[in-house]
Amino acid sequence: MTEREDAQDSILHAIQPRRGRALLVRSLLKSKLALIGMVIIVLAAATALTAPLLAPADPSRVAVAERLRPPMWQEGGTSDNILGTDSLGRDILSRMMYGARVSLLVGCVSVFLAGLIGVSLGLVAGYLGGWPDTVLMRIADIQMAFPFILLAITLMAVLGSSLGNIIITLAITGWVSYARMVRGQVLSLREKEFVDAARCVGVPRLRIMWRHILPNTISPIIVLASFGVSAAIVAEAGLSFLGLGVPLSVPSWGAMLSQAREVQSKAWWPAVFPGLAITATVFGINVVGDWLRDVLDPHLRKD
Amino acid sequence: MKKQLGRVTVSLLLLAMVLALLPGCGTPATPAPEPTVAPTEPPAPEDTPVPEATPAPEATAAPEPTPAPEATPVPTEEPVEQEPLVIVIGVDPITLNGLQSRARTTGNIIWHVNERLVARGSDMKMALLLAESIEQPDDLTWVFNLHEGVMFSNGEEFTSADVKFTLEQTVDPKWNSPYAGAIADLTIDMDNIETPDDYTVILHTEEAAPLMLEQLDFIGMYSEKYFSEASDAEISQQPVGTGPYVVTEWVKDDHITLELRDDYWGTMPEIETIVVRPIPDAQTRLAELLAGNAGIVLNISPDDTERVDATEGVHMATVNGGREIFIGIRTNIEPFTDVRVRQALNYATNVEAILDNLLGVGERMATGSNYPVPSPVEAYTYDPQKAADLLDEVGVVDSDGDGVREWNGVPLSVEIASPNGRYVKDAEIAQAVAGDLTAIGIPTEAKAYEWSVLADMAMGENTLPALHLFGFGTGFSGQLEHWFMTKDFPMNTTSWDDPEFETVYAELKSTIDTDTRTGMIHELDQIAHDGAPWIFIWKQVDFYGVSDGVEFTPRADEIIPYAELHWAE
Amino acid sequence: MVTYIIRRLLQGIVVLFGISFVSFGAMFLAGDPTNLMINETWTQDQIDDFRHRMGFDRPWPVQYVDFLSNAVRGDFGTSIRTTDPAFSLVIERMPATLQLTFASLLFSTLGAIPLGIISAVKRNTLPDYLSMSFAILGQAVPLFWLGILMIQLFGLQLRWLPISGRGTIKHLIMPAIALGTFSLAANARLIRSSLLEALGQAYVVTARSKGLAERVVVIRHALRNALIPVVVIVGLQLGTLLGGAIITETIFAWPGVGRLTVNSIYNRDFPVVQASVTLLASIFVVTNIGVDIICAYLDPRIRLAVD
Repeated sequence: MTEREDAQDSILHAIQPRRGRALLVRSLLKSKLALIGMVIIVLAAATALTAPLLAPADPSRVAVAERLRPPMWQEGGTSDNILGTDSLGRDILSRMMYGARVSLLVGCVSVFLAGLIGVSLGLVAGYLGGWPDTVLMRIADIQMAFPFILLAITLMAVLGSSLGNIIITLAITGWVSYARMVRGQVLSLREKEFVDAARCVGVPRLRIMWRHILPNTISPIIVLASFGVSAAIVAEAGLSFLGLGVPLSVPSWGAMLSQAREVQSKAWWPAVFPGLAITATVFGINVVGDWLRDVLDPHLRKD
Repeated sequence: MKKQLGRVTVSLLLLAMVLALLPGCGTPATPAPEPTVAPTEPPAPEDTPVPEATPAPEATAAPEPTPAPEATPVPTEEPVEQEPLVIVIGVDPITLNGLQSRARTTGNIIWHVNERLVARGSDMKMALLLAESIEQPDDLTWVFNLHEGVMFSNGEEFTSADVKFTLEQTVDPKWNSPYAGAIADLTIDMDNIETPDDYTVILHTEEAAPLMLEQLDFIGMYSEKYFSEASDAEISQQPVGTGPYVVTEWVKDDHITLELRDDYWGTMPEIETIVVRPIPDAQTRLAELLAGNAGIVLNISPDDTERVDATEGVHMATVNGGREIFIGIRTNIEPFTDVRVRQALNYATNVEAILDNLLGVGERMATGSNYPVPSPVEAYTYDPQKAADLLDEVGVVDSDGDGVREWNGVPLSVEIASPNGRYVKDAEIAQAVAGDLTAIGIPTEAKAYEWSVLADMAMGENTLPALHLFGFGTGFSGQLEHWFMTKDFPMNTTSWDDPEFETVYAELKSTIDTDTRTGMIHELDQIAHDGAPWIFIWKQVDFYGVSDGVEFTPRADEIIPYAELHWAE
Repeated sequence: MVTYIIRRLLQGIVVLFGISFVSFGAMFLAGDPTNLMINETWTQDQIDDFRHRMGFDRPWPVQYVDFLSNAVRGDFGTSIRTTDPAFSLVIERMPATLQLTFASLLFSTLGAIPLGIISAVKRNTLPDYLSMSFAILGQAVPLFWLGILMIQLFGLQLRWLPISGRGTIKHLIMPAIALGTFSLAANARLIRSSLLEALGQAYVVTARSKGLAERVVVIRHALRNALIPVVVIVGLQLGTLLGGAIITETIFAWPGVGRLTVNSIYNRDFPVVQASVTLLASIFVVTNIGVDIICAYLDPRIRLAVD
């Protein structure tokens, strides 16, 4: 990077609107709902990271003789299985902890991949215009018109079911909204003064996209991604219901909830705990997402 | 401004409403299928017997739906018109053309419409149906004398020509009939089917065919006239047969209505109208049963039996079925090439614990046959020590003390492939077995596959993992079942090839004498048991939920005998 | 306007071609269905013969072109499992799917408007928190679980509604609500934010300063503009709903296209999969063209841009 380019950048950045981080934190503390959401997210993430240290048992150890033990505070429960056992005698608490890992991994990685594909394609389409734009937008249309679950079933039928394939499936079905949104942003940003200015001083196209346009689309991307993560967690549960979820021994909240259906007339605990985990986490992510949108969107910041 | 807002809302509303309502009008002639869902209207408070999971016994003082004569406003004095009997199944038949599907879902409809020459009775023995008598002048000739005056529901008389026609259609490539092979296996000379008169059919076979009747059990009789007049679509949707019932309505994936024919030639069944409803989700099926909306519900989960039995007005009925659930062992993959390793897997598997805890009923399968004469062969028992000894003997040992056995210095790691939801608790069984095998030092992981994927792996070049859970379910002949273990069986996933087994099986195929056959079948049982190409699990128990208003005894072959059902008093 | 409609229709056709290509390719990758059809008794000759008769032994571009040339004439071939025409198998189940999908579209849109308005107008008060929490919860419960809970509660315990199947309007209520809840939640949140945005716009400030009642300002001025993005999203949601209908149809035994399609994918019944995917996509495409035209008609800015 040459000095001249640095100078260009710093001038241009000065023109662009920027916000302080301190403002964000203060606003978070002000919004009770968002604060609760943040706490839930942090808890879930912490559990996911520390699962191997905290989990009291091997999450995939099957013991049919110990199946459907109730939680320890109920009659028949033991302190070995604090939240009871599932239909194969596996420890629900341990599965919940490892499940946090799997569910968040599926959510985050698939959204990251979807975002990566969507943002790059959106940038290219929006900035270049012309036939690349037409082609990419038609591909996006095709994607939108193909019902997600059908696509997932077809993909899983071709690829087979594994954690990686679920992530790929969700990524392939999720990129469109990023592409469309980024493209829209780019189309409007392209005409803004600071981009014109950059073009005038001779900054190359790629660099304009990377240094000047992309940063301005970041906040809506973050908002979209936060909803994407929660949607992916719920979608994974749906895939599990259709038998297209993670492999049997891998614990994910969605798979646990789906497997609990079979024993629901006998036992409430295999369903309720993962169900609560999904609902709480999705709730947390969504309120934080809402809050982020309110904070990052200048139109809504009236106070 | 105001106008435009109006337009937004109005067009939004219209768009949604028109589209929501229009299709309702376009429904293909389904005049209020109320009866399918049975009594939706009066949720009479008294017949809601607190469908709690644990109803306190004294709280269920709620009267039965049928009595309480003073409270029920329904005029049930005389059975002016019978309520339909609702039978809830899992999946809709894909066709009602019996030539095109061997699925039980199809058979359970059409075999009450398209009667067979011979049919298996509730005792699982073959019995005469459209054939009045059968003679065998010699081993290679079969003479079927047909009942006279039997009418198809289209008004045509059933004759020997229809039998000939049906057999010809079965091998016609047009239909891709799953039974074509069965006919071929019987070595019937298709060019020489004699019909000396309207009520006599003579079949000639090239070889002795002891399974003639067993195979004809699958072949419903079709009207030649109907087939020549109707389109393929009509044939697959409106079967015409000689049976007591006719299909009067089929709304795909919703319900099939069968009505009793008043001109049926045989004994008149009691149930006049049968409505078959496919409901894919097990919990929804259960809910319909508990709500009292169904007479018979198939495939109730074993975990729901307690709740069903605790609910007024319904009960569970189970039967030891003929479907054999086993874990195939690929005998061409080391170390499973050694019979002792395969036996060790059988000893290491705690089937008893699976049965007691997971399934609640059933017994461990000893052999691969459903032959009615019980086999003296005893099932493997859970004996992890014996399993460990056998493995040590072969040299599958844990030399570095990490709990994992090695073979030729490489730590073992095995996969069990299983379907998920095709058989009762299939994936759970696979996982439990995986746990047992892991416990004796063979780290095993169970993986569920969609059935189409499994079938792909099994057919052609076998790409299944060393262990795979399958379930075969045909026949009670002792022969068809053993065929699954022969080396030439197309879906022979284990590659087991035991010369002794092959020899005995080849003899059995052309042996007619019943006692000799019994001896041979039991010999095959013993060879298969000792050779252990499978981890023998169980003969699947079928779980039915039944309304107290219906008398129904489940059959081992998964057929629901409509004609033998009764309303309970 | 006419050229705009024509352009959108042409785009729609391109999309349909793309979809048929993608689904054909995907199914081809999944492998041909012969292995699922054959049973114990088939010989290798029979298998080869079947493959040949079905045309599975041809290179896939040939198969695709063959499929296309027939499909444009409305002939999707016959199901390989039965002899039924694929198109009619799909069409006879289409009314059920459309009824369910549009009923839930109606539910999710109409339910979302009051929720969105309340929480935008009463921003950061209890009603806002309540309705937004409700909306967010609606997005946090997996569809299949919601369906199971509704069946247990309204079908079995309270006996208010029939448990499953299709028939009366009562049969429609639970499936439509279960399917529509996710979209309702999404719509409510969208209406809230776009209404908030509209309320900050100059013309609303002007309207307020003219002394108009707040109710009039909100409903007449702000909501009108806030609804336009909602209309667009509702069109796009149709895709989600058609997909979600597969789970709903399974839970409530609703006799729609979704179940048929899933089973056909599993059975590799190519013609039926092609027919249903193409038809479902056509509905999506046509509806969205309709939505775009409505938007263009409603919003002078779009209309001008289009012309």
